[in-house]
Amino acid sequence: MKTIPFERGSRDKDPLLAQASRLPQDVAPPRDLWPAIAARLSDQARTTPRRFTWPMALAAGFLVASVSALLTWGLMREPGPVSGGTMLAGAAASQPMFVPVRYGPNSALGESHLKARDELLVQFRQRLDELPPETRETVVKNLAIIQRAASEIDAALAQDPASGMLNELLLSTYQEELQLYSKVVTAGDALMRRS
Amino acid sequence: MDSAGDEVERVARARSGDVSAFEGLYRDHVGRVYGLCLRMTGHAQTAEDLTQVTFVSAWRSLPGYEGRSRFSTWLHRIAVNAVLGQRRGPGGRDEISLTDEAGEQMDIAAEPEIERVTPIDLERAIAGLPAGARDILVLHGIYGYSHEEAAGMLGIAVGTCKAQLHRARHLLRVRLQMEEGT
Amino acid sequence: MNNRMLLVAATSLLAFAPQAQAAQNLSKRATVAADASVEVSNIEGRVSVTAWDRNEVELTAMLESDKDTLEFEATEQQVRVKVIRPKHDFRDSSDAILTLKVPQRARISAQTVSADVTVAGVKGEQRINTVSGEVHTQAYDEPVSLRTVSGDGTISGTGGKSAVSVTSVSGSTDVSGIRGGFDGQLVSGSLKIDVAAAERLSLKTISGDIDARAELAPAARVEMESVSGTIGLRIKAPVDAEFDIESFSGEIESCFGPKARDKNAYGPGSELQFKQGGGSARVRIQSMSGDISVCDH
Repeated sequence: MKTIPFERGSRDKDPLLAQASRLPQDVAPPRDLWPAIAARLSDQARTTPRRFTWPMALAAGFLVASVSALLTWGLMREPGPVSGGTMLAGAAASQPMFVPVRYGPNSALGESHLKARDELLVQFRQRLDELPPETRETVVKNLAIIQRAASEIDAALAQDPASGMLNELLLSTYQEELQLYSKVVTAGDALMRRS
Repeated sequence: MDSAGDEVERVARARSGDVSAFEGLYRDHVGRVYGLCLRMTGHAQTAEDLTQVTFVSAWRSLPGYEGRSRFSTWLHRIAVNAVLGQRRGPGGRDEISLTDEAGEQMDIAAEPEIERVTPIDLERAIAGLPAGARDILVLHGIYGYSHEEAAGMLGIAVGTCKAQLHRARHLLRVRLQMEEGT
Repeated sequence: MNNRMLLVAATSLLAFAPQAQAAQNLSKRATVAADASVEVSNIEGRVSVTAWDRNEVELTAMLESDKDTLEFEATEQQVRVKVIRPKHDFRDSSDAILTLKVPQRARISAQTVSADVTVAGVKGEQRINTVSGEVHTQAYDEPVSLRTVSGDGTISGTGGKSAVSVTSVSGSTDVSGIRGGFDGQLVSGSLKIDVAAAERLSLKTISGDIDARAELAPAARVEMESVSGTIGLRIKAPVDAEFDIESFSGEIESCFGPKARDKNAYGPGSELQFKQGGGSARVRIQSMSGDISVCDH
């Protein structure tokens, strides 16, 4: 009962796009470009990617710090396809540093809204560490989904700032973010040692 | 056309510095790379320059190609980056900003080399699109990349990608209908 | 494997079979009011609650780990059951199986981390919170609320009219046979819902897909919102509603009424506004990039 099979083949449905898809993908350049390319190959030193190696003693500490940075980066990234969290899976073992969802320049969320979030975040950070690693991973992935949504809405607001619909969606997205934090906090209650 | 196995071998040899293997890859893929650059820029000369830049850049980046995506897709990514870099950077062929009747800024290539000759065909109509709309039409419409892939290559949100496609289709319909009447 | 290795393997197994020996079996009973509140908190394993016709709560508990303890407090109005684990070591996986019998009209509040929750025959109000447990329950005529992070859930209606609500981060939820009102909020989980005599339907998602079938009551209010998830709404014919559908960059399809049109010539966005039948119900659907499809059935 997962997803609805939607016929998304817009290229097939729209005659213009269908026509575009039949345009030749290969277009031969008017002249042979290889000689010019070959000339530039020989005078460019091939740069091999540098590989970091560090002493074993430093490795563990470095890993934690860099993984935190990765996590932060994952949540702060500009709009674009999300990496799916697989890179972050290994981060669960360490203590991830969270940053809340970042709302872009076109998104008007009041001061009071963001303050309410700050209070929730304090508890959220504590409780998150107490949860099973798979749950932490799910939370991270879904926060990234919420971040992506917020960024898409912000980009759309740049084009249509007065749109009531976009502003409503923005608020809903923010509410989902808060709800996620609050669920984690409540979930922690089942783990409290005293009732 | 070589089989996939041959290409894998060629890539491996090119990675270890074999220039003639790389030439074989050039021969196989130059059409697609030039085709992409030509349609995204609308200038034959610029497209040639960018095709060269793409292959030189690919040669340098080969050690980082791990075969996770198809080689042609990887080349296209490099080509798109080259096109975008050229648009932004100094010394490139600048796109003149115009304002249309609705007060919206439209970016039109300075001198489209593909001249307006009636009857206007789809290629010419695409060449006349503003940059953002044109990029999506080329990547999604002609080269068949998904919204997600195209958005990733262009560094924009998927939603923006869809909106640009929508705009492109609308503008194309308008232009093609207008031309039919003449 | 030769015999000697088999022997070695068998003895190793015996040395490492602590759990069966350490299981605790407990049983508790309390007399309560017909509409007593029953609160259950568990970590891993299962919580099963069934209704019976006694004004009593009976608990049978099996704790696999000898380190877990069980708290049981009961007054006539309230019963509290809690499994306590001294250290949250998630590598050490031990279940606690809690089986409860409660009065039909008891009010249930269950909270688990990964323990599954099943509730059957209980007509009182239910609040179920879980992180990743699987939930199965039934709705009668009192409110049912399910809050989950990644657990899947099913809520089956039994013909009564109630207010059901689900908030899920990534779990998939299936709600069927309910009447009255439903409130759903998802991040990436999917939702399938079938509601009769819907008076109020509010469904919001970020990227999860929504598949909704509804029979709309007169003057029903339906609101559906998505960022990138797809929205599918099928309304039982004859459709009698006013539609206000808008999407920034998603496709809008409707199998009745007019076609969607662009909001304006050069900008993004398409919309579809029309009335079908008398238009007594109101349906409002909005999406950023998710596709929207509306049909009758």
